[in-house]
Amino acid sequence: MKKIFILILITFAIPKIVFSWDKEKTLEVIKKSEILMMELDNDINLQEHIPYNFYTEAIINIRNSRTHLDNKEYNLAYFYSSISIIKLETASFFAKARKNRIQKIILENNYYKKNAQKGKVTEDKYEPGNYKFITYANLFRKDNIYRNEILDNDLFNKTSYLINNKGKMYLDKTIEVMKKFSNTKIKIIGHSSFNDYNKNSEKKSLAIKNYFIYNGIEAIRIETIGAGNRIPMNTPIGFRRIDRIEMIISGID
Amino acid sequence: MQVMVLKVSVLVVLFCFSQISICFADEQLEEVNNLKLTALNKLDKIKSATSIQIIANEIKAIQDLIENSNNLIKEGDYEKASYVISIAMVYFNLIEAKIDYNNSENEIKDIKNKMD
Repeated sequence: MKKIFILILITFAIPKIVFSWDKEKTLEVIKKSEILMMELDNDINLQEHIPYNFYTEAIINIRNSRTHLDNKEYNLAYFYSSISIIKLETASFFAKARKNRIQKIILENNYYKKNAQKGKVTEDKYEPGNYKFITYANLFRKDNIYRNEILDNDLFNKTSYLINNKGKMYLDKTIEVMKKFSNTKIKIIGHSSFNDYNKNSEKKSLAIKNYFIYNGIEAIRIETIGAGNRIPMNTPIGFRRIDRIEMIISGID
Repeated sequence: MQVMVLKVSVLVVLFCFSQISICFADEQLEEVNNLKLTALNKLDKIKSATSIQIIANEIKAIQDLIENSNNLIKEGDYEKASYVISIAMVYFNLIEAKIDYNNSENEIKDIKNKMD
C-alpha cells in the first residue's frame, strides 16, 4: 500500500522536470540576445534614437530568462530570451527610422534655405500654389490645404488661455494670410496631452477664434473643434500627444 | 476497514486532481486558440495592406510559429504552444518597425531626388 502511495505522489505531486527546449539551446538564445543588447547599447549613431519602451522591455526579458535558467525552467527562459531578441530588433528598426526622419528634416531645411537664398522662396512674398509652404506664416501645404501647428507654450499664458505676445505674433501672420485670400476658411483644432475632461481643447480653440474675430475675420469663416488627446502629433521622434493648436486653412488655391 | 478508507480517499484525491488538470488544460487551449486567431487575423490584414517583400522573413517566421503551435496542441503540450504563439505575436511589432523604417528610407530618397 505504501509503495502505491509513493508512486502516486511521484506522478502527481512532483512537477515535471523534463523539458523539450533544452539547456544548451536556451543558453545559445540568451547569449544571442545579450550580444544584440550590447551592440545596440554601443551603437553611437542610434543611441539617442532608441525607443525605450521596447528596449527596456527587452532588457527585463533578458533578466527574466537568466532567472528562469538559474531555476532550470528552460521553457520560460527560452521564451523570454527569444522575445527579447525580437524586441531588440524592433527597437533597432524604430531607432533607424527616427534617425532617418531627423536627417530628412535637416535636408528639407537646407533645401528651402538654399532656395530662399536663390530667390525662389522669399519670406515676405508668397503666392498660392507656387511653393511648398507659405513661409511667412509657417503654413505647410498638403494637397489643397495649408496647415500650421503651434504649441500651447508659444501661444498662451501659463495660467490661463489668454494669448501672449509671442502667440499674437504667430496668429497675426495667419490673419494676414486670411485677409489676403478672402475666400479662405479656417478650421481651428485644439489638442491636449491628457484626457480632456474639462473640454480645455475646445476652450483653447474658442480663444483663438475670438482673437481672429477681434482682428476682423468673419465668424462664418472659422470653425472650432476640441479634439482632446485623440490625435497625436507627428514629431521627429515619433507620434506624441502634445498640447497644441492646429490650424487648417482651405480655399487658397 | 482502515485500508478501505485509505483506498477510497486516494481515489477521491486522484479524481479531484484529474478534474483540476482538465479544467486548466481547457482554459489554456482556449487561450492559445484565441491568440492564434488574433495572430491569423493580423497576418491577413498585413498581407493585404502592405508590400510583402520587405517583411517576407517575418511573415514566414509567424507562419512557422503558428504551425509549430498547431503541432504542439495536437501533442497536448498547451503550455509550450502558448509560449510559441506569444512569440509570434511579438513579431507584429517588428513588422511595424520594419515598415516604418522602409517608409523613412523612401522619404529620404524623395528629398534627395528633389534636391538633385
